[in-house]
Amino acid sequence: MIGRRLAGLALGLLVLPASLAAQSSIFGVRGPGFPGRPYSAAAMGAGGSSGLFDPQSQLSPASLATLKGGTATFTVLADYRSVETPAGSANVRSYRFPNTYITAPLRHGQYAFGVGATTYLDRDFTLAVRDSIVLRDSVRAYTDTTVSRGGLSDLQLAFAIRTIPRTTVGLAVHFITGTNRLAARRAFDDTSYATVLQTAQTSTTGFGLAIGATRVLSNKLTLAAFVRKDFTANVNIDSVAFGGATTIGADYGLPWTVAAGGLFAVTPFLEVSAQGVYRTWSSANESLTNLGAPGAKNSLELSLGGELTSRARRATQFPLRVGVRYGTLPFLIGEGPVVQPSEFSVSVGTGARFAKQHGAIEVSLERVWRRASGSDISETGWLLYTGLNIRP
Amino acid sequence: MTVPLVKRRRWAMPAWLGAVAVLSGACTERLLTPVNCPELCPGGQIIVFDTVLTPIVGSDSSFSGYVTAAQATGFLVSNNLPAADARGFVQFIRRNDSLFVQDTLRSYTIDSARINLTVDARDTLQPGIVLLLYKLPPTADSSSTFDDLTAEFTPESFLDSLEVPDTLLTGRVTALFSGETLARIALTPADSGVLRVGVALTAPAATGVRLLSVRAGTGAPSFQTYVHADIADTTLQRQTITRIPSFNSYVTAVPFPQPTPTTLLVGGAPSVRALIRFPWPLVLKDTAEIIRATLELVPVAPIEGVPNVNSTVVVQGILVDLGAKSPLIPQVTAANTFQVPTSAVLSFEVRSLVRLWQGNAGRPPALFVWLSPEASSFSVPVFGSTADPVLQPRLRVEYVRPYQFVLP
Repeated sequence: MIGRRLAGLALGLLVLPASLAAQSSIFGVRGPGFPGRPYSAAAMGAGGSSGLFDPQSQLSPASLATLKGGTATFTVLADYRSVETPAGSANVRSYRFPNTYITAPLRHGQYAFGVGATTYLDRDFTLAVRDSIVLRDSVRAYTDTTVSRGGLSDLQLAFAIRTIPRTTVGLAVHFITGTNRLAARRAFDDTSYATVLQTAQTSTTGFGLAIGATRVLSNKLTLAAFVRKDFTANVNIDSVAFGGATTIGADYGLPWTVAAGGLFAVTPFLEVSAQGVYRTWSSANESLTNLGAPGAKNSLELSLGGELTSRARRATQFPLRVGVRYGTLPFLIGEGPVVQPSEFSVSVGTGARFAKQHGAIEVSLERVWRRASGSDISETGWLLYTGLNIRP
Repeated sequence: MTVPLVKRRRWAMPAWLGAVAVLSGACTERLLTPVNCPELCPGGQIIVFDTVLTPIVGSDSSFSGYVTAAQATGFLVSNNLPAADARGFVQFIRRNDSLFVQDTLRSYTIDSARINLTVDARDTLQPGIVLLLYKLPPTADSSSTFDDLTAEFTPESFLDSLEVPDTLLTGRVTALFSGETLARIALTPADSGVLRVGVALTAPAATGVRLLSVRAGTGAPSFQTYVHADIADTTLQRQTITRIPSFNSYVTAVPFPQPTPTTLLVGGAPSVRALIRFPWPLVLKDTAEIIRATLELVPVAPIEGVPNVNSTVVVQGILVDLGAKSPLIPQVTAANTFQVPTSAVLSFEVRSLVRLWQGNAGRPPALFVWLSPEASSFSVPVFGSTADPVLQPRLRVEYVRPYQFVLP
């Protein structure tokens, strides 16, 4: 019965990736997108610091170590941001589904598997530019609008081996795929000039492998490590207006990802976690600069968080999660002197189970500040994660 | 262990409501952000290119003989107008000397008659315009010249004068014949039942009007005869016989200008059209998105006509290039309505036309230029051709190339 339900959920999962995306950002505009975070709503409450240990997060396949039963996880992200650029400011919002994951233990818990989809890179934005040019000896004002929808989804097939005492080893295969629908529009104030509207669609594919491990060192301390290699992203453009699917040399390298973290049970009521994730996005730098982008640098994400429960026996009922996170963003910004943006966030979250522990809702709220030193571009936002877990 | 039902449901409802509330919000998003270029412009910027094309040398020319004066939708009448001194001529369909009433051919007596003409265009600032109607002899026909007609405009053949009210922009004017004046319009045996009317014009200053012809449909000249039929039933005695023209045309004192090898001419009667062929670069044919295209025609001399009477130069594409007989692309046109006199360059927004030149199945890069109303305009614009590099036509095209979407 459980197998059939999981199979049904897995089938539903297959139709989801096209709509998956993480939060958008102005700092994803000058690269292939804004990197997503493959964490559950519960992990985001702790700033993502427990991602290497959370069985509902998809950072490491070894996080399936603590999986107790079949679970389907679905996360909704509501994103409210204020963006400041030299051209003005805007309040923007979006809703996304950044983490969908179906997991189950196999052979009496000796193994576990997971099938899921997360956002790899998000490229949702709508940009407006107001400017003018001289045509026929007159100044003609115009408004440019560049619209992008889509990005890359990361489809993961994870497998965890839990037969080694106190140790779990996880392996994962990642299929990176996605489309990006693009439109560029220029509307002149002078209606003698027709509005320019050009559209195109790019499709990207990639592949990755990952291995991770968790080791329970003591009743209080668990450590985790993780390595992942993603290979080249192959980009095709299928121009609607001008015909033909073409490889245009826009391929770029995907990064190595190295992560490590620790989970420390300070008391039966309090757990503290810390995590660092390093991605070698500089592998995409040469390709991006050749295409005219400012480029890319390696990114580092550091997070620290904790979870406080009031009752050790029912730790899942209204725990308090808090976390902080700092990270550098991989895709550079600016013309001439380019700078690497960074972000800092604080988060808080909680959750509760219902329906005889078959269902759970996790809610986390994150306040994030993003900026690029030396530029006038910044962004602040509220990110509300709502996760729904179902255990058949 | 059994969990009480009430307790089980305590969290279910708010949980699901919360989930539904969040999911229902997933339908709306707002992502528009003002940015500055090039710092935050992916793919660079849309670059507008501006180019001026001149016709292929020697491939632009005018062709005559499209619409004759008798085929036009209007006919011209004027008085010593420099642009065209014109006289009108209307020949109505034969009126029999008896008519059918209740399936029986019956004789009749004429009570009254009237001639209706419709003014299509006039100089709105010229007062005192009067149309003069003359009855023409059977010798007047389609071969009559200006001199032939004017020779017949005598006091003996004078029918009536139709005052065109100063407030009338367009509309019908009527000459009514009854009583003593009825004899003026009486048809003689030599007329064979056909009324032929010549139309002249008088006004305090040189001017002209355009009257609708039989080709115009509504508003065509008409000759109505109100008769008393020879029948006992008094309700059937009053009858009206209406006749429309079988032919109407106009003649001018001086023939309209004819095409020359060094100019492009449009208008006149028989009408003249100009065909202009352009070179069409590959970038415009295959990849460019054209945002504006303007054809500019330079008059070699001031365009004359009737002040405050508009004429329109129309530009159309062609389906295939068969020279003078090239079929026009219907419904896609560009036009410039001008007032006379003018020496200004006439501009035409022809983007919708030149877009048809794009692609593998694009139409020939050529434009046909003609004057509307064709063969019934006082104006005959003459434009420069490629024979004169200064006055030759110009096609100004602004376009953008494909946007570099893959550039981040």
